[in-house]
Amino acid sequence: MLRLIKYVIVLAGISFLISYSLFVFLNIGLRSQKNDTFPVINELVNNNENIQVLFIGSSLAQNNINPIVFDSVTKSTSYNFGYPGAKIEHSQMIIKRYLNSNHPPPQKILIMLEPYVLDTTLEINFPVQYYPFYKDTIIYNFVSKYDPDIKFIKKFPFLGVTKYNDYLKYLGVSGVLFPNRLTSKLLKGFEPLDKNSWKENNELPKNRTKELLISKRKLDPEIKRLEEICKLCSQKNIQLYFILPPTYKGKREKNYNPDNFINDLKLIVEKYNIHLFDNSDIDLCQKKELFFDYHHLNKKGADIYTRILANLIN
Amino acid sequence: MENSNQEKLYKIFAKVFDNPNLIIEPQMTANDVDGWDSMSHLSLIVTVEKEFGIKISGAEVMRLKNVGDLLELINNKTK
Amino acid sequence: MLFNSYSFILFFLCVVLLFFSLPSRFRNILLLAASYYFYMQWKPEYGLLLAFSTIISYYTAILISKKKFEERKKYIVACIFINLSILFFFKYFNFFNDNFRSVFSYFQLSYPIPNILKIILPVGISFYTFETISYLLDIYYERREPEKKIITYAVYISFFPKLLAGPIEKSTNLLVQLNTVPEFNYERIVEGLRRMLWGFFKKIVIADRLSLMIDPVYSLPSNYSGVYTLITCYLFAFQIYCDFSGYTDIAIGASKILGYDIVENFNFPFISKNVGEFWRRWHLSLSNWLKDYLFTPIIFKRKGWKNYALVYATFITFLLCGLWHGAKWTFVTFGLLQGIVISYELMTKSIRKKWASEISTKLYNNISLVLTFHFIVFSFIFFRADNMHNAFEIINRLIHFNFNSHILSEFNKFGMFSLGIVFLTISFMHFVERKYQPSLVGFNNNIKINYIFNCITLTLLIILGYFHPQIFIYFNF
Repeated sequence: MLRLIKYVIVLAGISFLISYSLFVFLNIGLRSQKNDTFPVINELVNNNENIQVLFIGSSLAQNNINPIVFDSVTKSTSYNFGYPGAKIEHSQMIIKRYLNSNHPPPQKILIMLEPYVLDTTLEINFPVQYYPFYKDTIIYNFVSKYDPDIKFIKKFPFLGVTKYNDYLKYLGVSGVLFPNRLTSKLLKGFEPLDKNSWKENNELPKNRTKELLISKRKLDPEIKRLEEICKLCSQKNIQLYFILPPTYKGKREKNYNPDNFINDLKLIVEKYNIHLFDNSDIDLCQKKELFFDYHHLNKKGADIYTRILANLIN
Repeated sequence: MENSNQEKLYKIFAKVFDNPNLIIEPQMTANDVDGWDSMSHLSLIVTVEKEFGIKISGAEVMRLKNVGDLLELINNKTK
Repeated sequence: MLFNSYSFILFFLCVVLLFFSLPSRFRNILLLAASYYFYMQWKPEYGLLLAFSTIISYYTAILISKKKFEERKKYIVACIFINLSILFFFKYFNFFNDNFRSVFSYFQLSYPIPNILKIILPVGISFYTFETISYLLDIYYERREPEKKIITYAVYISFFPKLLAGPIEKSTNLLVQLNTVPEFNYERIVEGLRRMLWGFFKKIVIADRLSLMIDPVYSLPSNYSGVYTLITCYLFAFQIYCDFSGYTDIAIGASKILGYDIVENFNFPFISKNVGEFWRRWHLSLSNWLKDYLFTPIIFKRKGWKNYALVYATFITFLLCGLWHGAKWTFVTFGLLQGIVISYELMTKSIRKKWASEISTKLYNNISLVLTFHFIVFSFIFFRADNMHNAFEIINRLIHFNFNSHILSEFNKFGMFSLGIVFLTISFMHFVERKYQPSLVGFNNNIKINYIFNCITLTLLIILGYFHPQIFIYFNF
């Protein structure tokens, strides 16, 4: 019996050691990856430069604002920290994590908002992209709320590789072996969308809109989270902007009506001295050629809108 | 009588399996003989029926476990 | 409770510890309790079905053993009829009902019998029904005495490692062993563990990864290029092999740890030189069952027909073999394809021998091997497809052999990376099994190789496994 236990322990020990080394190896590769939103998370965790303006939010930030255009207009340094499908808690985590690093706080933070960010029924998108950063307390606390796999990785790092799918393994290996061949679609976090592919059917699920805009009770915790962000920023002397980005007016969803949402926002805006810009109905919203779908601008649209926004802020 | 039945049966085996040097023992089963598949099993039983002039029913075939059983069946039927 | 789940590992550990710490007279009771607990995790009601089938076959066996051979027939027919009716009701009722309805409506007649909604197939029913029948027929043909102790018999039918998807045990093997007392044996346990580990490797590393690549193609064939569809068809042969033989390895390993040897189910099926041989190497326990209790009785009943009896028996056997896998036209087609080719092989046996001697035997064998493998891969299309339409759509993609697809990412860098892993792991499996037999018996002799091999397998399992438990394909049958 003892002999058997010894046999199994030694066997498992060797295998765990090898798989842990591979896990470390893959993490090195993944942290230098340029695919997907890895560059954004890297910028968040490893950045030591001084960024003056942060763009925060979901794909509405990621696809609509081009920091390079913004910088050229305002003569500042900015970075787009938009993450696909990010909700307010996600944005809060990103702001917290950025302020936690060893560099001066930014002067301005622009949060892109729309009624949908209040929907907390959805989990975070692609939590796997955060796995290589599981040792980072702020990131871990946020991701572990939604994804038990990252808890497993933290508890059993020697088995962590079992939670990496083939795609992550591929990215990890290529990150280590071919670091020079990696390219990113992102421009300082901004992901330009192809101007040629207007997606007619790409609407948001209708039932979500309805539920969100009617039942106000559900929104409260999320509005509170926004308030926490406001407090944090006012402590650090950061000017906060709430922005409702443009949406195409050609054929709207019937229930889309941001008025309730804006009223909610107004309560905090006055209290914390925040600038609120509702751009959801500006002139550019009539021009189909600037949009990728009803909610996202294409590259050309993003450049034009960024210019407009930059002038507003200045 | 019984010995001659045995000799005759072994000759049938040699013929069916196309192997004059085939050594057959009473306790041997289909697994012990190369090429003893369903096809040769069928032709074996058919040949036995013809050569000994007996009828063997399906249920009787199913009850055979080895060569010895077959020999015993033949002995009983030719009595 | 899936074999590839944490709860099974915990369950199995408890059973093993209890098994070896209990006095031997309680062991069969423990195994029975564990097996029913294991089975009733799926759906408790179906445990009753299993118990019912066990009890009637147990008493029928005792009853007929006291009768003369001539009187036995009616009892055995009645008991087999009851067992098959249960199987038929759960597995085939809706299928035949649907088909009768289409026939009736074709002649514009009304058909009154409605389908029974949502019959959930009791998992393992095809396997244990066949075991019950094999036991009854063995008694009927006087191949063995009936088992006296009902607990031992019940363990034989419900023994949890093989309950859900075989191997289909003959009463002359496992039932005999259940009457002996296995000792705690270090070598046996290490061997059993290694066998289980190997099974997990095949299932979790190869079969589950392949399932991720293959399932989307079979659900939407029109999205994929002909080339990728072709690759998928080949890969499916390996998926089903690794899935089923992986399951069997786990079953055999688990039994071995407890001290019982259950039968092997595979013997390098893909090196077969003809389709008949393939069925003597693939799912052996089912093939042997069909041969012993269906094919052989038929040919001797019709022995006057000479060789046509063989063809007739082949068709019936493979038709039922197809239907055994499930109540679908795709499985019927799969069975018929096998029947056609095996009949051809039976009728041309002597001619083919001549061909082989005319060209060199080695060349002939290699050609046969390639042809057989391709036929098997082709027939597996019907095995895997959800319906006939789907199968023909796949075949259509194969005919229009092209690189065009709606999804262009099949052959990108990541796609090649995945295919690379698949290729390497299948090669590793092939190398190991060819060298040491599928049962890995060759490993016993060399402790060092043994250790290194276990280490490599475990490491590969951890770093390449796909750890989101997937059901075993053969649980559906």
